[in-house]
Formats: sequence, structure tokens, C-alpha cells
Amino acid sequence: MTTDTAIPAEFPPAGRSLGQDAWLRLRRNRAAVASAIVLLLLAFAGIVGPYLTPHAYDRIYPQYVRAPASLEAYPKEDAIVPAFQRVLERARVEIGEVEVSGTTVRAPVSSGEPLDPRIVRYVDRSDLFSNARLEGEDGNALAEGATSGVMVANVQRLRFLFGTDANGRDLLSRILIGIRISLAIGVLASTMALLLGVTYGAIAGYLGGRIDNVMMRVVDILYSLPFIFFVILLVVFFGRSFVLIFIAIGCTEWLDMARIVRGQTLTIKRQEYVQAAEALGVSDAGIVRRHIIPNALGPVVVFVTLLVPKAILLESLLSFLGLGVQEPLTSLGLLIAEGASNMRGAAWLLIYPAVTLTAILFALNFLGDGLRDALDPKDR
Amino acid sequence: MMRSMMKAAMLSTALVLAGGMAATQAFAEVVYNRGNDTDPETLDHHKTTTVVVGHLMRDLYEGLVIHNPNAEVVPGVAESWEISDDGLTYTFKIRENAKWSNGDPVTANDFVFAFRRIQDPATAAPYANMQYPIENAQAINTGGMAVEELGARAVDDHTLEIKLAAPTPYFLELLTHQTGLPMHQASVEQHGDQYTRPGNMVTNGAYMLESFTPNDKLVMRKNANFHDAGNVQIDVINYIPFEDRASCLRRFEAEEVHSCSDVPAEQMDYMREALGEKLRIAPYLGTYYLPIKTTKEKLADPRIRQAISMVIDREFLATEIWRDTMVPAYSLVPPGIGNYGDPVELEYKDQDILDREDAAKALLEEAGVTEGSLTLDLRYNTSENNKNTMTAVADMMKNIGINATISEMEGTGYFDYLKQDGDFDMVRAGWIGDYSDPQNFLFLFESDNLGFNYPRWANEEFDALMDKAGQTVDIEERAGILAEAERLMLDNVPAIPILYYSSRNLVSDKLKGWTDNIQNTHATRFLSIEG
Amino acid sequence: MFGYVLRRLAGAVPTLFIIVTIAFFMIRLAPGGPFDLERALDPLIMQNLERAFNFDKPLWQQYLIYLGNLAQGDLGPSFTRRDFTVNDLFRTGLPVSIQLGGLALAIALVVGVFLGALAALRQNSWVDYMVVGTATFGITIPTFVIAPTLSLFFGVMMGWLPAGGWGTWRHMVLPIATLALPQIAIIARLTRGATIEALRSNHVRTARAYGLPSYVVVGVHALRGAILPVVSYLGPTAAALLTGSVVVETIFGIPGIGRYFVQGALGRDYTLVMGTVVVIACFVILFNLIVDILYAWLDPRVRYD
Repeated sequence: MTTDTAIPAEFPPAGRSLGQDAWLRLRRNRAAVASAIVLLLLAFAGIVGPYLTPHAYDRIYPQYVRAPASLEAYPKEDAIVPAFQRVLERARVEIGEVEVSGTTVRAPVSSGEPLDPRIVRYVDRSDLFSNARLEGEDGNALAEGATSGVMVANVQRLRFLFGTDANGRDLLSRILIGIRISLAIGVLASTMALLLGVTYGAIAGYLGGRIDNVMMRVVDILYSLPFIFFVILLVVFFGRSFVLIFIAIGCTEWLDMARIVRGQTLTIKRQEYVQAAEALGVSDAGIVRRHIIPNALGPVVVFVTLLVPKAILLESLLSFLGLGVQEPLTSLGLLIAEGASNMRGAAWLLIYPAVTLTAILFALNFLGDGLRDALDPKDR
Repeated sequence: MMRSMMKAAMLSTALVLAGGMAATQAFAEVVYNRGNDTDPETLDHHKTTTVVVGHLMRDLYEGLVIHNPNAEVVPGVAESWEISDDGLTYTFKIRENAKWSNGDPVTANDFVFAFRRIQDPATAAPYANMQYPIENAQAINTGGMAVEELGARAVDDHTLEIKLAAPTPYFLELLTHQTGLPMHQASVEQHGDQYTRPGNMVTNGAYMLESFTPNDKLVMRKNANFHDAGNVQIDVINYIPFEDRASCLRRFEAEEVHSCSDVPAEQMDYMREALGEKLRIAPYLGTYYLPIKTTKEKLADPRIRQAISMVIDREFLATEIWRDTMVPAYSLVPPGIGNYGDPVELEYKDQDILDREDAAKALLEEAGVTEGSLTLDLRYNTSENNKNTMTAVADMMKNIGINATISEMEGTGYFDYLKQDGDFDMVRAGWIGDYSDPQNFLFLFESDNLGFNYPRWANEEFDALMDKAGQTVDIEERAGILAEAERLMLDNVPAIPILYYSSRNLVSDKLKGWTDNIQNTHATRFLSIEG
Repeated sequence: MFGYVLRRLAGAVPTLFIIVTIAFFMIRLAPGGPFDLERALDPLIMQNLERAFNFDKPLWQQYLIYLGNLAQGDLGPSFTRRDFTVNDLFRTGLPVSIQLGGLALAIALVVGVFLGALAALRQNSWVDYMVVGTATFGITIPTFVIAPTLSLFFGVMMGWLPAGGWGTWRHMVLPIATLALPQIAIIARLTRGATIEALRSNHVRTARAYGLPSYVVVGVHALRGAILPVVSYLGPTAAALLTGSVVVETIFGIPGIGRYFVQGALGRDYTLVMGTVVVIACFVILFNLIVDILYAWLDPRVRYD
């Protein structure tokens, strides 16, 4: 017989809550983790990116309307000479041979009358050239009243990695701002729909009977009302604001969510563990909170990953009709819409935003799957 | 009993089949699939205002006078006419062989009935004012005078006399408009609101209405009773509505439609390359302009408005934003308009943009506006091109130190807002001429024209000139007065004209007879299809 | 159950009434009216027009007039298409939308459930990734991109199918494909998610333990539970599909009623919009009822007391 009656320090083991459990399992799901990282990166790009790119998302370059995407900086080598000539032609002077060396362009100019020093503005105004100056042939400042000299300018090399849009704005910067807006709208609207829909649907399904009936009829009524008018009225009464858009979208999306959760609840409330909890005297709120909602989360999470793209597309429909995001702000949905109409002439305007949106949604997808697997209480 | 019935049935079936086959073999109908902008809001030409309906009416009805393929006014139902010396009385002789689609002859009374109906307040015709030049028309429409007092009467079945309130040199032009078309009194009175239904509708043009399925197509068939039916070569027209212009382009390329009434501007480069001659861009009687609220203190000084007008690079807008589907405009009245002399234009038209900017800055200084002190809100109704235009204009205003923000408004709310004297700084608007006369553009800025005078500009001298022109008979003298009025308007720029419209059509090379003209009128009776 | 159905149908009338009332006043609150066009009208002529359409009467009176007509099945005249009554427009357009939407729905349901179940059974295999990948793609790419692309490729470039229009079965192929693709994607995702859960559940494990063949396990036991969220989703989706898609109808030129939702709202055609509200309300109520009945049938534990 042993006299060892010491109780091992670790008994009983500390219980793990559902949240902690889910977190551990999520971490082990590589696809989900990768997706979460991608999303965080994209979100970061959306928030910080627009400040970091060399072009402002609303800066217009009239010279570069619909410029194709290119790794090479604009203007391309073989475009500088004719561009410089064109610019100088507007100044109505005779132009000699143009030389390009590094980032400097020079060309001899002459005219029948004394050269007007203001003509440097033509060169400066162009987006290609900057720091234009008129010099004498010897390299010093131009003499007063001279009829010939040398026009020198620096060539501004601009990079448009994703090309420019129909107004001449850098597409990369626009996509970054679009990510910010779309993610914000998608996440905010879906969160609102989630919170509202889950609570409403769970309560309706659990309480059942007449209350369920009335609550679901309210959902039917709201569903039938014309969405566009609703948005028009919101805009009329509250003016246009960003907050308005995601409230409007959230107000439409929670209806579907409520229906699904209610359906799930109807099944779950007949489960044994719910009946057991009732028998134990757990309050209604407690049951809904601790048993119904966690068990309904499966399809809910999947549906949320479907809600976010719906929100983004709904927002683009609104903007299309003139009720959504205001110029010069843009969203991925809007960019895709603009790209779709330019499909044939400027395919990059469609491809890049579409790829970005697809990437976001793929990431959301895997993350959602991971969350669902992690939160599934049966998979222990 | 049964057997004979069976035999009869079989026989008649066989006959029908044979007849059907024979029919299809006997003649292949020439069918024209014609793209239109949208469905018509109604086929009652007294109740519509749109160009879309104008196209349809041109094929269904024939007025006293019509446009030939070059948009010149030529005889229609009237084979000749006389104008009195004071320009106040027109006498039309109606041709003997003009008939309605049900065989009834077209008489002067059909016109009198139509003119009276459009002025009748009960009809609530939105375009009744087009025919106000007719004596007493306005009093009947808005003042309660009896319809019988209208200055149009049928002297006899084939002679129509019209008296005008004032000499109107463009009156014949007015008569080519859809508001001047006749109506078949008997069927309108019999069917009331339903007279436009296929089967009820009686028309006197080259075609009659066969069917109308909304959002699908409107089908017209050749009117065998038309007096010139022998020269009409197309048998059936399918008018197909296309709100999405890119769809029309696709179906045009797939050879499912023969013509499109508009094109997707974003694909202009592609179309120019791939379609060549089939893409028709022609000057059109319309101006795109930017009304400025002149009653606001910060915008009341015409020098400020002129400065803004000077820095707008219209060539850039026309070429880059509108892909050459619009033409830079330096006047309100578009070039090529009738009853006018040399165009009146903004003085700085040929000046370089940088010089203009300098001059603009000087003007602003004179007017006491320092750089950065003026902020304007530019408003526009939802459309890709409007958005891009206003964005570019805002950018241009920055060059002279004016801050500009842009805001979008949904279409219907927008026009309501403009009409109701909404609190805007600067907006955009477009005007397509109803008839080829400068009065139709200048009248937009008369001080009592509250429906269209968005800037709420009130200039006594301008109003006086317009009134005087309205009373002048001599066309040249009148043209001079109107030119003075336009000069006054351009010096004050209550609205800045920036672009002229052009008509854009896609025309298949199988469709023959289509002639580009400034009114964009292409009646099907002058067209034919080969191959 | 029969009593439940009756009660629901009886409840439909007050629901409709509330919907019509809220919608009526909501629509009138928006600024502008059916006669605000780019060509503004003379104010006096405007008065004539308004009188002709009862706009000069006080709003509550117009409401009662509308209700009275509605009770008799008269949806009123259309303000933007003056040659037609709203009843006319729906009579020609609704069958088209129902045809299109119904076929798309049927195809989406069959294909979606099949693909979703397949992916769940082969979870984490290449089949699964393919299905999930394609499904995500289908949800991402908006209809206003799919539709013109299909029309361009099959209609213009290849010439195999008409680029637009309506009339023969060949005109239906591309629009149905456009409508069905996103729905297949969503249904597949929902089915897959729910099937995965169902496969882990007790009653499926029991069935497997009994040695029942795989297809019985899946087809009868797993799917029956898994299909519940799909059924919930289908209710409002069926209503939306059968009432037409504005994008598909505009791009392919299909004479359905989908466009009226947007056209009516933007043109402030009050009666047309009310008509669309009534139609969609009827469909929503009807389909939600069907869904609830199906729910009870599929899951015998569900009771509606």
C-alpha cells in the first residue's frame, strides 16, 4: 500500500471555452491562416496604401488617359521626342533637334520675335515635363529680347503599374482606395446584418408560435418594399454619406440572415441538449446565447462569406444609379463596372479590380470555412 | 357525318398549309430591324416629348410638310402652300390622293382636329407650346378660351388655312415636328385613350402599327394606302429598344439589327477601327452647357462667370472625355442652324489656353476674387460622361485658383431640383433643338421662362431683343436682332456653352439611303435593304 | 399542418395591406415626379398633366382610390408607359420572367446541390477545391460582367447563339446561364457546408454503422438535413429570380418585368412601382410559406405551434 496521497497539481485540467477551443483549431488550419494573413495585408494596403503610392487616387493626368499597365515608366523612351515637339508647337516657335539625355530634354527654339519667357508654362503644364527653363545657347540665362535659345526641361518619369482609367487617374491608387471602401462597406454591412439577423432569427425561432409568425411577417414586409426608394429616401433625409451606404445595405441583408438562423433554430431547439437545459431551468436568453447561437453558427458563417460579396455588389449597383459612393472616391464594385464598359478598349481596367476582388473573396471564403470548422462543437 | 367532317378538316388543313407555303415562297418580306433608344412613353403624339417617339411618328404619320433625307423641308400631305405678305396667313393645298391606312381620305379637317386637340387643356399636352405661334393657341391652352377660336380652319376638304399670332419664319419647320401631325378624328373619338392600340390605330404615313410588346419590339407594316407606297421599299420595321448601348453594338455586329440609334462612347476607339464607315457621327442641333446660378452673390458678377468659361479646355473635353462624339462649342446656338447669319461666338475661341488662363486670372482680380477664396460645387445627373466632364472642369478651375467640388444627383431628382430653383452653384444641362431656328435656343434664357431658365438670369435688354425679334417679319433683319441677343448672352454667360452634340448612329452596309443630316431624321420610307 | 397553412394564408392579407400602405407613402416621399424630364415643362402645362392623373387631389385620397382599384385587381395606368396599364405590362412580362427565372432556379438547384454534396463527400480533395474555387468565382464576378461577356463571345464572336432578344429557345440559353451561375455557386457552397456538418452528425454515423450503402447514407440521411439552409435561402431567392433580373433583361433585351423595378423607381412611375411591390410581396409570402412547409416535411422535429 502506498502512502502517497498527494493529489497531482494538474488535476482537474482547466476547462477550455468554446472561443479558446475554436482559436486553437483555427490556428492549425493552414488555408484559413493564410487567408487571414492575405486579408489583413489587403486591409492594410487599403488603409495605408493610398498614402504611400506616388499618385493621389484623384489626381488627373490629362496626357495619360487610358494608358495601358506597364512596368516601364511613362513616357516611354520613343514617346518623349514627339511629345516634346508637340508641346513646343503650341508655343508657336521653331524647334530644332530634340536631345534626350537621362532625365533632361533639350531643344533649340527660335522665333521671328523675341521669345516670350512665358512659353515655359506650356512645357510645365504637360505631365511629362517639369522644371522647364529657357537658356541661351551658351548654357546661361537667356538674354533679354533674344530670338533664339534652348528649351530645357526635366522629364518626369511616371510609373502606372496598373495603367490609368478613362479620366487619366492611376489605377493602382484607385484600386487601393477601392479596397478600403469595399472592405469597409462589406465588413460593416455584413457585421450589421450578422448581429441583427442572428439575434432576430434566433429569438423568432426559439420563441416560436405566434411571435415567430409575426416576426417573420415583419421580415416579409420589409423584404417586399422597394429597395431603391428606400435608398433615395435615406439620401434625401440624411444627405449623402458613407455611413448611409452600409446602413442601407445592412438593412437589406439582415433579412436573409434572419430567415436562415430562424430555420436553424427551429431544428436546434428540438435537440436533447436544449431540452436538457430547459429542464435545468436555464433562462431563455441563456439558452439562446449558449446553445442555439453557437450551434447555428455553421451555415451562418458560410452565409456571411456570401454576404460580403453581395454587399460589395449591391454597393456598386447603388453607385451605378448615382446613389452610392461619391466621386472621386471609388469602390471595387464601381471600378469593375467602369472596367466592364471598357472591356474591349482597355481590358486592364476590368482585369485588375476583378482579380483584386476575387482574391479578397477567396480569402474570405477559406477563412469562413476555417471558422466554421473551428466553431463546430461536434468536431472534438 | 364524321367522315365528311374529317375530310373537310383534312382538306382545309391542306389548303392552309399549301397557302401558307405559297405565301412564304411568293414574296420574301423586306424586314428592317431598327434599334431605338428606348420604348416610346406613348404613341399619342400629343402626349410625348421625346426624340424616340419622333422617329416612330415619322414613319407612322405624314405631316403637311416633311424632312427629306437632307432634313430640308419639302411637301408632305400638302402639295403646295401660299404665305401672305405679312407672314401671318398660310394656306395649304392638300393632295387629292392622300389616304389614311383604313382608306379614308386625308382632309384639312384632320389637321384642324389635331391642332385643336393638342391645345385643349383636357389633353394635357406637354408640348402644346410648340404650336403657340398659331393664333389663340396659348389662350386656349392656358387661358380658358374655347377651342373653336384656334386660328386653323378647313376652307374645304383640301384647303387648310392657318393664321399666326406673329410672323414666324420657322413655322414650316415647326410643322415637321410631331406636334404638327394630323389625327384620324373618327378613331380617336371612338376609342378614346385606346386609340393607339394596334388594330385601333389609324395612320396616314408610310407605315401602320402592327404590334407593340414593351421591352421587346414595336412592329410596323407598310401602309398600302399611302400615296407614295410605290416608292416605299421596306415592308416591315421592327423597332427594338436598347437602353444599354453596348447591347445594340453587340447585336449590330452579330447582324441581328441593321441600325443603332446611339453608340457606347467608351468603345469609340474600337468602333472606329472595326466598323469604319458604319459608324456615323454627324453634327447635331444641340448644345451642352453649364448653367450658373446668377442670383447668388458670389456668382453675380459676369466677370467671374466669364473667367470660368475662359479656362475650360473644350477641345480636351471633346477629344478625351467624349472621344470626339461632341464638338467644342463657343456659342449657344449651334452652327448650321436655319434662319441665322454668321455664328456669334465667344471672343477667345482661337486664343491659346494659357493666355486665356492669364486673362481669366486678371478678370477675377478685377472682380475682387482672390486666389483660393472662391469655392464652387459642381452638380450633375448620373452618367459616366457627365461625371468625367465635371471632374475635368473642376480640375481646370483649379488652374485659376477656384476650388471646386463635384456632387452627383440621381436623374429625376436632379431635374426637379433645377426647375424648383434649387440651391446650386453650377450644373450641367443639354438642349436639343426642336426646330432649326435660333429662337429655340435663345428663349431658354428669357427671364419669364422659369421652366428652363435655370440660372434665373434676368436681363431686360435681352428680353426686349427677343420680343422685338418675335415681331420682325424680314428674316435677315430678325437674324441680326437674334445675333445681338446672343452676343449679350455670351458677354454675360449665365450659362457656359461647352460642347455641341453630334448624332451617333451605326448603319449596316446593307441599309441604303441613310443620309447624315443635322436634325438626325431618317424616315424609313427613304431607306432600302439589299442583300 | 393544414390549419397552419390556412392561418398563414389568412395572415397574408393584412401583410399585403401593410406592405402596400408603407410602400405607397414611401414612394411619394421621394422628390420629383413622373413628369420631371430633362425637357422641363411649362408650369401651366404641368398643372394640366397633374390634373389628368389625380395628382392634384390630397395624398390620402389618392391612396384610397388606389386601394379601391387594387381590391378589384386593377393596378392602375402606368405613368411612364402611357399606352399601357400596369396589368397589361405584367400580363406580357411576368410569364417571360417566370419562365426564365424558373428554369434558372431549377438548373441551379440540381447542379448546385449535386456539386455541393460532391465537394463535401470529397472534402479537401482536388474535387473539393475545384468546386469551391469555381463557386467563389461565380459569386465574385458580377452579372453585369458575365452577361456582356457571354453575349460577346457566343453571340458576336462565335455566332452560335443570338446575342440578344427573345423568341426561341436559343434566345434563352445565355440569359439562363447568366442567372444560374451565381446561384449554382451559392447553393453549392451552402450545401457543401451543411453536408459536411451533417456527415459528422449522430444519425449519419448511426446509418453508416448500420452498414447502409454510401449513397443511401448521403442521399437520404445526410442531404435531408443538409438541404435545410438551402431551402431557407431559396425562399426569397426564388421570389427574386422569378420576378426577373434587371441586369440580365437589359443586356439581353428580354421583355420581362425585372427592368420595371429600376425603371419605375428612377422614372417615379408610382403605379408601376406599386405593381412590382405587390407582385414581389405575393411571391415572397407564397415562397416563404412553401419553404416553411418543406422545412417541416424535411425535419420532422420541427413544429409550428
